Amino acid sequence: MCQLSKVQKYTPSKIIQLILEGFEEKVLDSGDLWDCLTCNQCLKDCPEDINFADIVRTARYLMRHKDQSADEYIAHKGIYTTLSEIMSRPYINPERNMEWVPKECKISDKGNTLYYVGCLPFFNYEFEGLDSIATSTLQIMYKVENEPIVVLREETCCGHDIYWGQGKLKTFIKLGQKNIEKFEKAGVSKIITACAECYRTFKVDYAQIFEEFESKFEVKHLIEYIYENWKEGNIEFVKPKKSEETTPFTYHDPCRLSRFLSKENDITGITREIFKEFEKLGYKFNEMKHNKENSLCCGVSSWMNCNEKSKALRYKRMLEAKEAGTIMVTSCPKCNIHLSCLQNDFEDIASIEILDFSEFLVNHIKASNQSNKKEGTN
Amino acid sequence: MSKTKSKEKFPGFNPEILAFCCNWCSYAGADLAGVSRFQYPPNIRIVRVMCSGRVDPSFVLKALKEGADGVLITGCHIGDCHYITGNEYAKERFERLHEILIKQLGINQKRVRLEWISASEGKRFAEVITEFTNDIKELGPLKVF
Ligand code: SF4
Ligand code: SF4
Ligand code: SF4
Ligand code: FES
Repeated sequence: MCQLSKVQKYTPSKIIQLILEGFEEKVLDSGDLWDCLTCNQCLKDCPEDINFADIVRTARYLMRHKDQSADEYIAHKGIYTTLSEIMSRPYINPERNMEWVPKECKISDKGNTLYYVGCLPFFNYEFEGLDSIATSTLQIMYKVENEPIVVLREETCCGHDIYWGQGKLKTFIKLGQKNIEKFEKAGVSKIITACAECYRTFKVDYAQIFEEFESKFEVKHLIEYIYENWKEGNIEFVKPKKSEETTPFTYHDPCRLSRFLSKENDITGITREIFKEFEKLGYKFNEMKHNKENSLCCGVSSWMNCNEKSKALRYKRMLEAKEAGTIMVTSCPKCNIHLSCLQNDFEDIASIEILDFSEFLVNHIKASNQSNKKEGTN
Repeated sequence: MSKTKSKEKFPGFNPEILAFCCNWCSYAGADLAGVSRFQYPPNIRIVRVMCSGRVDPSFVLKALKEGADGVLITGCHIGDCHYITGNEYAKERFERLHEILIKQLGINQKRVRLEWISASEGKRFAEVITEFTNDIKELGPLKVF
């Protein structure tokens, strides 16, 4: 069932019906498709495998060409999507803040493994503390890597929000080309990201649109990176302190890491495997009522549709979290932003601590005794 | 005031500059500049707003996206805002826009500027515009490939 239909009259099946009956123009003209969260719950539930969110994305492209403006649907008056558009221009070369890089971590602009930071440094404009996601990620990676990790000061946005939110295909392609050029120049072959949206974008959309992307670059989310290194015995998880034993945590699956990946991709599963190991060590992990592929959407995918309806979804999600734990871990910086934001409005959910996967893990991971880190390139 | 060099760095470059002027002070200042026939370069397009606090940073970004070479925001002097603290609000947001967004985009921060100009400062209005235009001329077009 559509996540939105719980709070408003909007059903993907009705829209599909209209399209099948030949009323495509009517659907486009109505502007209704701006409302969709592109959360992909409907695909997950659809017996015919209709990829509705993808239809919405294409429809948005057509709707813009019918001179419909998306402006009123975009949160923060479009600041963040405008930034992406500016970055897509060939004459723009970002000079991003690098203060978050811890002193002990030596980064490089050339090498094998890249940490793709995403738009975090720009979010400092009005959100606090997100830098620590980047810091934690890098710290985790240095528990494994010997060689300096590549972090690009001039990194550009991956284009996710432009692509899904507004169907701006051309801008998306320009951003992609800029990124690929930079990856190639840096000589990287492995890309690690801690962002759900960047991951899906590289893994699926870049791979589809840009020839050879898949063969040139191996893309991993931090969760996979940690999982593999744990399995290979390069890192291990540490026992909780007494105070932590009593703090139950739960996990919010971002849609982009659950319903938005190919069926073979089992990020939700390996996340649970890691948590199972945590339970063995003495931590308390509880699932929320809606989890894995059925996770509830944060409601503001691609900075679209921050309104009373999506707020209702967020509130529901936070109530589930409250029931399950004191700490809510997620692996999408934007889920983090939107869910934290709601805590300013509702006191009853304000006590939940929302942490990124990287922030949560950084203090619970150490390099294995047996391993002497990886040798050189791998 | 900026020096007028005999040799231009970017010959033929006519910058496009957008200015958001507060209705109560700097817009009136612009008027006064016109009435008093103070000369200032014609590169500027003025958008009148009711208060500098009305200028959302997204307006500035959109202007840059649409091809402006420079964006100026002007308001009443601190303490003189018609809506009491609109300009303080504008200043605080502007600083974040400047330091966090414009800088990280790799756009020279000189291209975006905030100035306080009162209704009686016609001369100063002309000077600010001239100086800003010269600065932008020095920097050259934003769209260099
Ligand atoms: S993608 Fe989500 S919001 Fe959009 S129609 Fe499907 S379930 Fe509803
Ligand atoms: S912010 Fe999180 S839940 Fe929301 S659309 Fe992005 S990945 Fe999905
Ligand atoms: S939920 Fe909060 S942070 Fe997210 S778009 Fe809405 S106002 Fe902004
Ligand atoms: S009224 Fe002029 S700045 Fe507020």
